[in-house]
Amino acid sequence: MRRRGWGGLERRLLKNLDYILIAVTLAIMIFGLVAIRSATAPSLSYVKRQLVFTAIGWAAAALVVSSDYSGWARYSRLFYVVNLIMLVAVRFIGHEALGAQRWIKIGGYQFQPSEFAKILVIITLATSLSRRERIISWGDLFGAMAHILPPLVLVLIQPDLGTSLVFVAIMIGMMFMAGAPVKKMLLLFGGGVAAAVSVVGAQLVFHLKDFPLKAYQLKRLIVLVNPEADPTGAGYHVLQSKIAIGSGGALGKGLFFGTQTQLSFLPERHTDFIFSVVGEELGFIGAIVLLLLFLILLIRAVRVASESKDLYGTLLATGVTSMIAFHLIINIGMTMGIMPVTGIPLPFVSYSGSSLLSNTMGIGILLNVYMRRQKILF
Amino acid sequence: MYTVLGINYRKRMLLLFVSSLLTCSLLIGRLAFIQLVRGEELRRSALAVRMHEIQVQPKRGKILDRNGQPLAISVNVDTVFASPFMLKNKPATAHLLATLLSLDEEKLLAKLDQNVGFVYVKRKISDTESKAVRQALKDDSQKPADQRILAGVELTQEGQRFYPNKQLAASVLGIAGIDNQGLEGLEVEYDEDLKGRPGFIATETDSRGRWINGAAHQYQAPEDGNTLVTTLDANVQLIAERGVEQVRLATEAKRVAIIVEDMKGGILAFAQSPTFDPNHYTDYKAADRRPWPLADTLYPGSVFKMVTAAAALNEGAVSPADHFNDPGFIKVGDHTFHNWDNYGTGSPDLATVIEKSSNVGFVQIGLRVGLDRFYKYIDAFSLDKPTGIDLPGEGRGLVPPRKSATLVDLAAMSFGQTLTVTPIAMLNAATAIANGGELMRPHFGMEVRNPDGQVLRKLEPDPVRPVLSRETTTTLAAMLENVISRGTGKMAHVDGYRLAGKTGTAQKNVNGRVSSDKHTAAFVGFGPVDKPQIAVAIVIDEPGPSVPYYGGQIAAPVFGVVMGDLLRYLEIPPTEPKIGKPGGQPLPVEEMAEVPSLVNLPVDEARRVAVDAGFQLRVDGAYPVVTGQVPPAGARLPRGSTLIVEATEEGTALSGEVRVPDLTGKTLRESAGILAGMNLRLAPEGTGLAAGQDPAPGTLVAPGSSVRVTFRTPAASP
Repeated sequence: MRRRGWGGLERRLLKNLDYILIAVTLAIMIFGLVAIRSATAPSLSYVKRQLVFTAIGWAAAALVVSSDYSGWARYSRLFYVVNLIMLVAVRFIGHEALGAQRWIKIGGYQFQPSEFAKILVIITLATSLSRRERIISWGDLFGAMAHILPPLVLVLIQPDLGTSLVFVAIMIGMMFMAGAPVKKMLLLFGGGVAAAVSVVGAQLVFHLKDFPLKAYQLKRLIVLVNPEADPTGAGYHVLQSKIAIGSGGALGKGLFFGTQTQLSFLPERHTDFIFSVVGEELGFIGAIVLLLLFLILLIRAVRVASESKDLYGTLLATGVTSMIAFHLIINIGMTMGIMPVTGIPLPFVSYSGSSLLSNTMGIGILLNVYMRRQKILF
Repeated sequence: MYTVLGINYRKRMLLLFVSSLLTCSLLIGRLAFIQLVRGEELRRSALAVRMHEIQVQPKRGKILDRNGQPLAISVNVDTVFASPFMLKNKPATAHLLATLLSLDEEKLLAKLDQNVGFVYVKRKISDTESKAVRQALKDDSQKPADQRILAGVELTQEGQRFYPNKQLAASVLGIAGIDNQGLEGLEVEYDEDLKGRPGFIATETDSRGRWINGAAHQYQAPEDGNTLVTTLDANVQLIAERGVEQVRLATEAKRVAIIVEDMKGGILAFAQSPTFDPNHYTDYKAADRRPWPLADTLYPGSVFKMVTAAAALNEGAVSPADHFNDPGFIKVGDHTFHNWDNYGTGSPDLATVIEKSSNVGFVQIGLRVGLDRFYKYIDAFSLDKPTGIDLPGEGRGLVPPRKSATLVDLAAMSFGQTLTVTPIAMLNAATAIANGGELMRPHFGMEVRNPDGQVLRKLEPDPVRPVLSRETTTTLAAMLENVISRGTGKMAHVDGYRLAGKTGTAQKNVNGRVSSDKHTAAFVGFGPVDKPQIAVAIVIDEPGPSVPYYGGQIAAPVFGVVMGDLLRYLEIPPTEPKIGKPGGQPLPVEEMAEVPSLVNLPVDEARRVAVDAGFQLRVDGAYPVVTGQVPPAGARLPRGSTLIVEATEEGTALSGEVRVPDLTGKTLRESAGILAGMNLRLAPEGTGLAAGQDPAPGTLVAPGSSVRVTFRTPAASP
């Protein structure tokens, strides 16, 4: 019998934990708690709830870490079905807010299945990709696409365009690491982007209302190009956010002293626009520190992928990396007016229990893969 | 590192790593741009987002005549505005306000239903409306909060342009719009000086417009506009306007103008008929508001001969001793020119040619000057270009281009045909002949003063260029004097004065054709000849068919009358014995009256005093007591003019002090009312009518002070 440590883990494995990754994640979470505290002042309830979810998140991560990822492949089919059931359930028993049906109420808490769908898709897609001998033919590529299509469509019709794009980002990252031919990928996704652009272009040219993009989504794209086009409407968020970040300057206005934040000019300031709060109150220095923490996190995550003992581990780590990186660039880019407004949160920082939980579970996956990087030779 | 099928995973890992790095660098770059490069700009936006501003309008500057008499002033009038989000019962509010302000109820309700923070209900309301609204607001404020319908409706003061002399110099002054912006005339030319700078009250609010405790407040006082002092003289203007009005009636002309210029280019009067009342400018056609004597070009006719003669003398092309051959017509090329009466004048010298206004003589003079030198003088007198007068809309004379001009053109131009000039340019050329040969830029602006009366900028006379030698002007003036003393301009004579001038009659060009029945009669002259002080131009455009149309017959007598009035008004002493010649009959002088002192009188009494003295009264403000007046007591104005009095709390609160009113003759009740209105307390003694008071009327005291008033029964006094 090997000696077992905490949570049934071998001590040897615990030594292999990526403590830097844990520390960086914790640091980012603290950033988030401080920013939420300021953004929702004087109320304390948000920051308390976020703390609870931080704890739950780490507990879930520990659970993820405790079971060898190599065994997950066996449950892949089950995970996939659970995922679809969850996403279908939200359509029927879901709770509608802000014009979208994304939440299921459990007790006093709202639970967002699409957040967990991302984690489940990472696991099931990694299984599916690693089972194929090679990812080379068009058939392989379309197979991967067919894999994510059902959950993607279910999220898209909630509607939640942002999260469904996260699936695409996860898929692209994992396909690439699975060795898909670069030319074919470029052709496929380049073609996809071109098709999307021409469809949106056609919508603009023919003045189609609500199809294929909803009017508000189209507006968000227009204000991305020209935020002054609608400064009090669709452009309002971005404009106020840019004003908030810009007016923070090098050193920021100090916690609780951000005028845009404290005087409610900044919409969604504790959730999607939390980075603007950091930018305004902690300034360039504070925002840079947060971005550098994320950079370290990403570098560690890439390291996990590269150190993995097998392709399955690499793919799992890549999926988590792609997910976090995509969230990062879309969310922060949006607050600074270089990405369209899609309501996706900033991992570990935005106030959102589901997001915090799923992202911390993602960290759990990374820790799991890294911890078991060495082939057991005995 | 494991490998599968020889794919280079290390390379792909590196790419994953690099893209993570790029992602963060892109975000950091954007962050640096927003926070460090655009930081300052966005910080200002952040402040602007929070600052809720209310503009405070400045008072538009006055326009005065050269003696300080107001031509245009601004008075404060009430404007009603509403904050729709504060209104609880919009239909009721709309109904009440529509009734009080004679507005369309439905339209007003639609306005109030807008989702905005501020709407104008009605701007610049009348005194009566203001009183009604004030009363309604007062009544409403005493109701319980849930029954109030006017909470959210407020009054503010806005400056309203007021032209106290009505049509006087209207086309020069122009008009200002509802937002106090200059729209026409001097109002737009000097808009930068007159408009002032709005101030604001800014308070920091949160995104819902709520005030923040301890928030920043900023108050920027408005800067009132500066005062423009013009070269106009209201009395000269009045004389000129009476002139144009009477002449237009008498001659049934389409339009008549009289312009008076001093020797430095300052315009003393610029009168045109028909004209308009700028206080109600929307009631008039835009054509009547145009200052056409400087905008339109006309054939000058024989008036122009003074320019031809000046050129000829100054260039030595003719000498006073030269004689001309005038059989009544002259052939130039294939064109024959006739005298106006078709009679020849024999063998006249230069003086006689001018005196008799011989076209044949002037054709010969023009030919001797030659095209080159003739054009040189048109250019030197600025007759083919704008004079640069400080009023918008100036036209420019049309002269055939030098290159294509023929001798026939020259011959015709010599006596004022073929070319056109603006009346102002023609008068300005005559001024140059009168003042010894220097062309001046005609102007209306004299100086700009700040609201406290300090001179900020003097608009000095602006010499353009010397045109004629003094010898030329002396010789020419003597010849032009003959025009009046014994030539075509006899009717311009003013007994006792030596004046010079030239008549002119031109056929009008209608749709490119010389009309046989439409004429322009003119007279341009100056005086006194030995020391000229003013030059006057009279233009009678299209006199009616039943009256004579020659300048010598209809324009010259007007010159005589107006010049006579002006010489007397300007106290220029006669130099010649009176010879009882016709001309110069004074027009009936409008009765002038002295402005009474109105300050400190209760408004109703001020009105009575003003009417008794022969004036109308306009009250600016809703305070019960007069706090200021324009013009000041002692000024002389034509009867029937409007006096403006200020009755505002600001007038008293400026120094934080109030002026004690004169209560003499008031009953106890009246006295108490007047004092209460001024935030003073009454300390009465005795009964009857007020006979004495302490402090004395006019003393400045702090608000809330007591005024001891002694009342006596009239019968009881010895």
